[in-house]
Amino acid sequence: MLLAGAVGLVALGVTTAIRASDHQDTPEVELSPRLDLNDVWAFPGSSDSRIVLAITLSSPLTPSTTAAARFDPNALYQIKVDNNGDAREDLVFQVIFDDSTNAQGQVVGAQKVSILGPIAPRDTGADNRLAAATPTLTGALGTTFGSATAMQVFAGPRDDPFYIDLEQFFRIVPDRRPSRGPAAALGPMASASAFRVGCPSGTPPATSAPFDGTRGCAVDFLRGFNALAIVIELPESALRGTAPEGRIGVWATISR
Amino acid sequence: MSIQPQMRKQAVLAVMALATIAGSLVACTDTETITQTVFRTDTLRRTDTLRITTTVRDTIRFGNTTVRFNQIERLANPLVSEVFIEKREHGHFNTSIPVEDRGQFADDIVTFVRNVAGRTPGVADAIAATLVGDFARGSGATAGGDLLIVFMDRAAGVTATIANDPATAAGNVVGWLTYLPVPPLAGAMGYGGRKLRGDDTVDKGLLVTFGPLLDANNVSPGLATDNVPANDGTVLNTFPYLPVPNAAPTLFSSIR
Repeated sequence: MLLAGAVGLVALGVTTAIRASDHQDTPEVELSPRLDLNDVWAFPGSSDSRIVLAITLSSPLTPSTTAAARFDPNALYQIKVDNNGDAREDLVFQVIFDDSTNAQGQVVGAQKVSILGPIAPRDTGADNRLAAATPTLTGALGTTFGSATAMQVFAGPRDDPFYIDLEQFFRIVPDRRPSRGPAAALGPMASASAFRVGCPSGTPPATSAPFDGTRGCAVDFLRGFNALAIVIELPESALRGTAPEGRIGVWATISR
Repeated sequence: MSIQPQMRKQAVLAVMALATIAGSLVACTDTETITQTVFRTDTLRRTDTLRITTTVRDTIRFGNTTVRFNQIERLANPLVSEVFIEKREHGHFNTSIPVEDRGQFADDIVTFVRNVAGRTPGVADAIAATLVGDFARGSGATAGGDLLIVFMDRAAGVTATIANDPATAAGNVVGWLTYLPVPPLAGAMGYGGRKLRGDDTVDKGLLVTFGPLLDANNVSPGLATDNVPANDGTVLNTFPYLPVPNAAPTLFSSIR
């Protein structure tokens, strides 16, 4: 019992640290990258009383395709917040995107970004409708809009901040590999039992660390790739509920 | 039995007319009508024109509160599904809601930690309880799940600038966010959430799962780090914080 308690206590402090990416986690979102959430962040904002919530999706975007990258105009992007400790959303941010089209119906220019929230959701759970209100803010793709003292929003391409040797991870746990592309070709059988060594100077380390001459050094799979991001900064008071210690639970969803 | 071309054409037109009528019946605030002129050639090579009026759902706009969106992607702590849950369950996970996580996915996490990582039941239970259980949710929480937990009542002076700068003493001492989520453990600095810089989430997850952090037995040293220590982009100290997008190379721009 004591041991279990001790393990639990350590886990309390550390295993909540387990956060990684969620790139291409199902065949469906793999085929529709704009519906593929990659990461969620929540961290303090520009002052004591402000908080930043951010998500990324659509990674990996190559730099040359980034300028043309758009959010899915048929999707509803949401960040959900529980502020009373019941693990159900009490407040939501709802973000939608409209393509700008010319008279011929061709997509031109930047998408229009519309965000509503934080607002009590019309429905909780996995089946949602838009809340009955006009957008809190609107702006253009790739720009910062809103107020630095109230709510400020950015939606557009950024560097994908995540880093991992994903290729080697798929060799170790091949079940998690995507269903198509080069990583899929790694096959269903585990072909490695350890990560590759790091080569900070570009060459294998001189130490006795086991260097795999075939597969080389550890590689940041996402190095040089971009993602689409939605970043929201606002006063914490807008999210505060009845949970003690100002506690909130945050998660993101994409629906269509 | 063969259908005469003229009869077939009439049948098609009748179906189209019915479709148009049906469409107009549901035309209300969430639909819009598009009329197209179509040139067609029937099987006797007679050409005529046909005006087709179609009604499409104009679903994605605020003010329309009738259309329902189905959740197809969900994320809070990404490694939860990416690493601990079998690929075949990812779709199920993505369409579930946090409050269902403990009942639906705790056993998947335990199975991975025990069978794939080869750890003890105590380690497996501690990780599962932390990731999707009610554990570590703080006082007053009535339910748990895969939620990014934030304790907004942090110490004064903790802002994005400090928090994102691991090079400063404050950045190190603050140490909040991902790895010190709970105030009793983290002291007044505890914040939870997830930070953008200096937070090697993959290594932290691997260290807990395969390394000696929770239990010195049955560790896999080659799996305790992926040897990718940092992101390639530079986190900004001001909104929108995420690194600027990687630019396309201009190597050949001079010889176009």
